[in-house]
Amino acid sequence: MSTVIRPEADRAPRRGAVTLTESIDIECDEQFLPHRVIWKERRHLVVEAPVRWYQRRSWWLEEPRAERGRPGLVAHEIWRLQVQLEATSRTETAEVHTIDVSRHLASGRWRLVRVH
Amino acid sequence: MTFTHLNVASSFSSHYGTNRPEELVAAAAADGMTALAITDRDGLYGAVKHLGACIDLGIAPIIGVSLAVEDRGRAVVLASNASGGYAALCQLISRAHERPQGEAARVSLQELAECAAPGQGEVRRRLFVLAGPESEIGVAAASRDYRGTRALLRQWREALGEALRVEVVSHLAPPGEALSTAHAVRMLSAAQVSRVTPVLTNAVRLLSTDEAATADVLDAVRVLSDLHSTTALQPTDQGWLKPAAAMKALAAEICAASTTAIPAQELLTNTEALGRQCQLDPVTDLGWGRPKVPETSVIGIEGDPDQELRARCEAGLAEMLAQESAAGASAPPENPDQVGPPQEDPSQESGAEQDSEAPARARLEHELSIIADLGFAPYFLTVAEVARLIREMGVRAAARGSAVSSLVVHALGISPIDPLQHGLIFERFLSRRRSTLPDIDIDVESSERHRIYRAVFKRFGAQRVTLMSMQNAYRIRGAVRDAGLALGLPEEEIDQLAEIMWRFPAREFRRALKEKPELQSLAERIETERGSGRQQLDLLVDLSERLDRLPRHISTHPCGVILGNNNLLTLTPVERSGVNGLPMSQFDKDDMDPMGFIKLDILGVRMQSAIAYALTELERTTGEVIDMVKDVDYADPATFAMIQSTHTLGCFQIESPGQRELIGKLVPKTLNDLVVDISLFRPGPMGSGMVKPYLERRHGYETVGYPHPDLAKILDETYGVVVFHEQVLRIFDTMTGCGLDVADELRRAMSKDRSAPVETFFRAETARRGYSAAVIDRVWEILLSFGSFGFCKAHGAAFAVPTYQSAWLKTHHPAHFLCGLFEHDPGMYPLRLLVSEARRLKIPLLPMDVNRSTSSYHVEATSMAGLPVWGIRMSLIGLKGISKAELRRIEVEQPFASLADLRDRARLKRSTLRDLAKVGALDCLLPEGRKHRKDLIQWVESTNLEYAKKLPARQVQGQLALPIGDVEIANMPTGAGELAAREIVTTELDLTSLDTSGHVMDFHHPVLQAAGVSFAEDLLSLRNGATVRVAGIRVATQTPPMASGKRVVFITLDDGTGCVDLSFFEEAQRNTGECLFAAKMLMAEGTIRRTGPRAVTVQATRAWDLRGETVPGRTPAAAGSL
Repeated sequence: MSTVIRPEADRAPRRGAVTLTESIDIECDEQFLPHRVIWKERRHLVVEAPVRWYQRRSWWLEEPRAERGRPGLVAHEIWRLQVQLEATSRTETAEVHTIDVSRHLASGRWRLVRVH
Repeated sequence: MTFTHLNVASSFSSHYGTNRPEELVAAAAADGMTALAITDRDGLYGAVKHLGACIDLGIAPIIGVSLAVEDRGRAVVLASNASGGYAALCQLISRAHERPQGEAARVSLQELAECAAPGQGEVRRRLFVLAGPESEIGVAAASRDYRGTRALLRQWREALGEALRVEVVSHLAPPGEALSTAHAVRMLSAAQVSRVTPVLTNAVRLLSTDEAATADVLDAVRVLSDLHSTTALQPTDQGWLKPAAAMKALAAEICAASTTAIPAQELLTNTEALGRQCQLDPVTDLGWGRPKVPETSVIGIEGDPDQELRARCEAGLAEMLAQESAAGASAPPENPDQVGPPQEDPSQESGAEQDSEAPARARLEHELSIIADLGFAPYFLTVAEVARLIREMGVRAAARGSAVSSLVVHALGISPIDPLQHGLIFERFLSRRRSTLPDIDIDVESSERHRIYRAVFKRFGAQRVTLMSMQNAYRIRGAVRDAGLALGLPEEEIDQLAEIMWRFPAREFRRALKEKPELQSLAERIETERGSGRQQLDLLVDLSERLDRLPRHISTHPCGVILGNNNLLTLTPVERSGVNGLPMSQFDKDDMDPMGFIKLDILGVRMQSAIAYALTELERTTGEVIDMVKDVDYADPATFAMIQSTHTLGCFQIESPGQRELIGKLVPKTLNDLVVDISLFRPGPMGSGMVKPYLERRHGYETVGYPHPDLAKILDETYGVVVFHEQVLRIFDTMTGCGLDVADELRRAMSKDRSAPVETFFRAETARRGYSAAVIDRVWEILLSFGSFGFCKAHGAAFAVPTYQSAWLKTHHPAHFLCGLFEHDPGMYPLRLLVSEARRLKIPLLPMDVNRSTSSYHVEATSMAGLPVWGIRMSLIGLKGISKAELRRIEVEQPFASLADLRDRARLKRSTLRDLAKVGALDCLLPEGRKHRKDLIQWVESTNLEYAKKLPARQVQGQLALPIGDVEIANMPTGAGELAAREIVTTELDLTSLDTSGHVMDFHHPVLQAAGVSFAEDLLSLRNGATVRVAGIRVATQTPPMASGKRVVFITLDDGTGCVDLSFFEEAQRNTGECLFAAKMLMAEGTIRRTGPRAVTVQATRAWDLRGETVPGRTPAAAGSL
């Protein structure tokens, strides 16, 4: 089962700013790969190599404007991360969560897209 | 190590790529890449631009194409730098386009293999083929059909062998989808298993992710769908020209995800190795910049082309000189300066004739030596041969453009204009300092154009000739339409929006919304809708801006013919021209110089056809044969009186509202005045404000002065105003001694906004020669303000001849001339205005008649008020829905004795029969004619088609129909009454788009009367400044460039009595709003402006849609009084 958080669906379409349903803090390593996640105020470590792709958007429905110079208009980057509570990550019993996160290109802020 | 992109689509992949080759090359160079490919879809449309940009920025060009492989998807094909590589690519592409009209370009795998194979005596492949995600192999891999993927890859490998590469691409689509990294990984492992070398590309179609939304729109429009319902959209925005570092990271990402062990480095090394084998040398592989002309042996010249050219020119010159002395006092058209003022000076004239030989010989020597130095003799001989071909075919032709400046061109019989008589300068056309191939343009009868092209192909051989193409780019209306389509706007809304747009760059749409009065209400609507949450119009503006100037489709250039040598088809791919089916190069006019291709402009000019037709009709009806050169008086007072009256509709070059206004002010009295008039009415002169001083001085309101006596001779013919390029050249030459060739370079530099070094040179040289500072300042100011805007006198001189000829015909043979115009419809106005002009000239318009009309317009003797006159019989070709076969049968079987006879022999569709009845073409078969037209229409409509089929089979040839009266007519029920005039005109408009028997404005009579509208024929009698209302059907809209830089809109209305020219300045544009460009019929209010002794225009204050609710006269309240 997975919970899907759809930030677009409940966002007021008229406003320019992106309303985040759930923001999330992510630290990246030197190769710009997500490395540590602060989720629900707790530190998680990324325990597997992250999988990355781009997801296209129906921007003509979601965006009020489509002029040049609007970053992330057509697609946004999604990372699928396997995370574990940092405090327990060395123990074998610790639960591994799969989460999809996305970075807003203009602000550089991360948001949580989906919890598996 | 760098990375080389091997799959890059530019915007010349129409409805696919988003950026020009120059932008892509610049980005690659900025990233430090050493090579870049261009692989446009279906052709090399952008290849020459790519090469040029690569040369400029010092990176190695790679050229390829993305082609459909029959039933096997699409593949990228790259030309290798083995000998014959580029030629093989051209031939492959041409082969792909050898398809029946309407079929998409494609090749079979076998053809691909044949073209890719090494050339004779070579071991290296001529082409490389990338099987990537769009190939059938890639499609199978996307659907996880592993076995299929490998089986297909084996087939390709068997066919192509070493030429094949597997193209690995990831656009980082979501896992499982096409163009995901997983997809790339599957391709990679298939390559490994099948032992085909894999390479990495990014299947580039965008410069950056910023262009992805543009690509989305293009994807939707390509499949004629909207963004929401199409499945053709790119999966992500990652198909951009990624920097080398990003591509290396991508290689690592793909290889890391792969289970087969291949290091990323190997993938990258493979890619670079392939890239190196495909780096072309523009000079050795494509003959970059080297002129290619037909071998002179083709036109039967075995010896030295320079000698041959000299011999022909001398012969031509001798003939001309002999003719000149024989002609005596009569002035041929090429001697307009002898015709009248300002050069009218009898003593000089006779003197000039005596001495014309020596200057002509000197000029010929001068030109021939330059041509010999440049090695262009074969080119001139080639063009002379084309001119000879055209003459031999009996087609009217006239040279145009700066080539008219050349005595060689004149002596070879290519141009009728004697450059010496007009003071034209050879260096304006060609000089040692200008080694690009010169353009020689020939205007021919438009209706004969394709026949001439075929003759040229035949004469020079199909391997040496192709037509030139042109790219049609998005402009505002097309951009709005396609952006609207992508957004799923309703068609009617798109139509309405497109209609109110008028000629501004699409990329400035948002700015135009603020500035253009006709867009004000749209701007308000966008604002309102934004408030209520509808964002489509806002998006429409952004998307239209994005589409601006992107190439939409390729078409045949209206006049360019490329003449090359035996190897032409190994240097350019060709495809079938949609116009005439002849081969057409994929290169456009900007590609000609770099490729060293010679382009000959053979432009079909409808006016030439109209004149030819008028002369044919004249001979047919009167037996009179007129030679427009020898028999026409080029100083005919009646012709100049007609021109001065400004009733010049239908005359070449001088029929537009702006030109009619200028003519009214200028009052041309000689052919040379026409040269000046035509030269003044150009964007440059109109925009630079030289018109007013010219007119003031011409009419003596301002004294003529020269900045220095040295310039008097140069500027004399234009009253001291600089109008012509030739004058600028002479000023430079006279005051600096720089020579005419350098002078032309200086002029060009100035017109390209590089006047600073020119100024330095000019000031230094003139000072050295002792001109005073005041004179230097004054002359520089003149050069700066006018010099770059002037017009080449050679153009004006070339245009003035057909202008005068058309005016002469209109003056002396109006019915025949208008008949020629009807037949070939040459001008800026719709046929309906020419019909109006015929009406104004009291030329009877004879309606369609099935016994007299044919598929052409004809002059027919008729009478008016008891006097014999020439009328014009309308052609059946104007009847909507009539087929060519029906037309032919009518023509062959004419005349018809009865309706039954017509039906029997012409075998017309019932709808054609009905429509012929409706427009009165069958009145001639009815007793009492028009009176029973309505009965006939009803009868044809009520008779079912079964009846028509049951008609007896055609009689045996030779057997005559029994003359037993018309059974059909006898059976026809009568009593339907007569048609009302209004019905007749409406039907005519519907079926022929012309109102022949009445005028459509007649129906608006109540409104016109209530609003107190004045008619065109009465305007001349109104005083200057009087306020008027006028109304009519729109026949022309123009926004010529203005000295002020502000837009003035000129609208011409036809009100049935003639045309009314209206000008709308800013305030009036604002008052009029949307209907300024959209309404078909207008009523306008304004003031009378007299622009000349016999010319009048209305300066509008506002206008309304005549059919709208708010128009004055519609409602009593709005009618008001003036």
